[in-house]
Formats: sequence, structure tokens, C-alpha cells
Amino acid sequence: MIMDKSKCVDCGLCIERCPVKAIKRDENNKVYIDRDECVECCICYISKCCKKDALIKEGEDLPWPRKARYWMSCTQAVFQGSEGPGRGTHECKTNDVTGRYPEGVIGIGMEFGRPNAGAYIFDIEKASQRLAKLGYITFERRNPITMMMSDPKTGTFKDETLRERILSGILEFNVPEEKFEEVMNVIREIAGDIHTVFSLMVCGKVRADGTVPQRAVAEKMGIEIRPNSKNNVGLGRPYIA
Amino acid sequence: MTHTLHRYGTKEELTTDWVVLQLASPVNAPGSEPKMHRFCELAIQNNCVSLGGTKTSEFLEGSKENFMKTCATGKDDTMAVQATFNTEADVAQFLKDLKEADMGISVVVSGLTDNVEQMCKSAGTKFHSVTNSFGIWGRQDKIPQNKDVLSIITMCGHSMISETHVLNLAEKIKAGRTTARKAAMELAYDCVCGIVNPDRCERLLQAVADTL
Repeated sequence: MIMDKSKCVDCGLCIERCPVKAIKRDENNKVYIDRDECVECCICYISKCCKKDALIKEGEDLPWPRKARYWMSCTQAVFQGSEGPGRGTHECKTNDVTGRYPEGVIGIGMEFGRPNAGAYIFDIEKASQRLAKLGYITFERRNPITMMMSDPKTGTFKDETLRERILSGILEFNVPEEKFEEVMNVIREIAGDIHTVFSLMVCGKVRADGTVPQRAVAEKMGIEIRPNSKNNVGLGRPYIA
Repeated sequence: MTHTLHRYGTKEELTTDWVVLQLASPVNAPGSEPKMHRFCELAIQNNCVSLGGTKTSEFLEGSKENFMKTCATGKDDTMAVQATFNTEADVAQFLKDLKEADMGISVVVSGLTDNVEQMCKSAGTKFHSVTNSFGIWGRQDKIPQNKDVLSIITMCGHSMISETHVLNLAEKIKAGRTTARKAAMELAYDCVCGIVNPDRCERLLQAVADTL
């Protein structure tokens, strides 16, 4: 985002719209966009809060690697090669027709920066490299975050992306059920070693007895599961049992 | 796409907030547009309070008939639509209607797990897969400390609602310069997916204003 200071009247209405507090006032009370902190979500522009048309959305015209911010932050952006708008994939939502998570496999999504804290790619790399060292993690290839890696096997990102700040990005991968506890221990370590937050999603196919594999491990490890969940109710066709 | 999963709130409060999504996959997306439209019609019949696609969102602000007209002209999605509801009974009936419509597109119900499981039993379907939220990890000091504010901002899964905006609107409500309803609609329109529940948002905004 760019602010046209010839039009801006420093009213500050855009300041409150910014979810990552990147629009600020300087020592002379003038409003400006902190370009390092701006994640290019464009909500200040989309909300039409500026009555003077002083906010300019660069969006698709942004150069690489800054464009990574736009792709991972703006709801109007679609990352080429992903399943559609959004920052991840359909994961379990279409599992009844894709069979992406069969029994014995648990899906994990670590959404860095959410809610509203924002994340630098270097924080995500810190996590992806540590997880990759386990030797059995494969990051989801259709996820835009994986596409920004130079080497998904080691969880290494392209150098030029590391200093880019995004509203949120999902590190998405599957683990064999028997390795889930080990992975959760690594995730605990990561949580203590990053400069932002992540919201943690765990999904699994329901077994014949009605249970899901993630619940027992969470209970054993003393991890609180939120009471609300997202449930695929099996109405898709062709149905994969 | 985990945007309806991490809605924060107490168990009691979440009994008033439900989201139902219908998503096509490459295997069943061709020809799915009328099915997405049918989903919207059934959602409105069952008292949804908001509807969204991948590009636009609509909120129930007048009659159901007008809502239907708005949505008929506004929806051209072939991949995903979602609707938000206030009551468990409406979602349960909607799920029965979706089962009967048998459109063959994946449906996801986002809400209190035990209650959704019961709805499935009533509708004659069952969970295929479950996605759980294990909560927020890492630097807790970086997120809003006021739980009602956190509940509001996590209703937008893309984090487009800012804490500062919520607090400023709460100040205006307290000062009598706007109403909780108007403020809720202002916030809801910042969420392009239409999954912010405006009624819940209104209640939460009033609660934040009352504490100022």
C-alpha cells in the first residue's frame, strides 16, 4: 500500500483499519504507512475508509518478493497454483471425496501470524526446518507457503522471502498417526522459540468406532482442544469411505 | 483454508454461532454452480444471518425475500459458499434439507462438536472427518487480551478485523455516537467471506463497550 500524501489530510481513519498496526502517526502527527510492517492485506483500501482517495493499492503490480505479502494477506489475491482464494488448501473439508487423509494419517496446519499478529517468513522457516529434521514430514505441495520454499525437504525458504511479513501463512503437512505425539512435542518447542503466534489445526478421518486419532494424544499430553470444530459430514460424491 | 475453525468464545456463547460450508473439489466442481445457488436458497429458508462466497458477502438486513434477491444476483461461485446461523435448531433443519437435496458436494458444519454430532444423527448422516482447533500457541502477548475482542476478531478467519477498529467502535457505542448494530455491520463487511455473525458481533461489541 502507498499513501498519496498530496491527498491525505491526516484524519487517521485508516489507522484503525489496519489489523497489524502498520499505519501510524509520526512525531509531527502526520499519518504514514510503515512499509516494513505493512502486510499488503489492503483492508484499508478495500474498506473505502479514506474519503480522499489517498490510499493506493499496488496489489498485482507489486514486485517479487514483496508480492508474497499480498498473496498471503489480501483476500482478493489468489496465489497461482493454489486451490483457489485463501491461504491454504481445502484440507479435511473435501476429504470425503479426495481421501487426502485416510485412516492412520493426521493432518496438521500451523497458521503463523493468526490472529492478527502477522508473521515474518523467517519465523515460519524456523518451524519448517525443525519439523523437516524429523525426516518424515512432507509439506503440502499445493499450499502457497510450501511454494515459497527453495527446498521443501529441508523446510528452507527462498532467501529473498525471509524478511517479508504476511498477515498469516499455513505450514501444512501430514504425519503418520504413530508419530503424532513426537511431532506435538516439536511443535511445543517451536511455540517457545518464535516471535509471533500460530493457530493450530489438527484433522483426522473418523474411525469405525466414531473416534478421531488426534483426541487421545491431545488428552494424554494435556493439550486443550477447543469445544468447537469443523466437521465434514460426508455428503460429497463420489464418496471415499 | 481453516477460516471458520479458530472462532474463540465460551461454550455457552458458541451455541449462538454456527457456520455451514459447501465446497466443491476438482472431482465434482463441474456443473456445481446451481448446487451452490441451491445451498444459498436453503440457507436463507432456514434463517441464516449471513452468506458468503469466495468473492462477496451478504448479510440479512431486511426481509428474507430481499435477501434471496440480493444473493441471486450476487453469487457466481462454483467452488465454495458458506452461511452463518444463530441457532442450533436452524442448522439441524438445514442439514436435513441438504441431506435430502443430495447434491453430492462436500458439506462442513463448524460449531460445537457434540452438538454437531447430534445434528448429524438427526439428519441421518455422520462425521467423515473432524478438524480440531488446538488453540493459539506462541507469543500470547501479541494478540488481544480482551476475550470479547478476541472473539470478535477471530470470527473473520482471514484476520481482516483490527483490534483498534473494534475498540474505537466500542468507544463510539459507549459515547452514544453509534449503535452496537451499526458497528457490528461495519465490522462484518470487512470480512469478504461473510462468516462474521453480525448478531453475535453486536452482542460482543456491546459487552466490550460496557466494560470501557
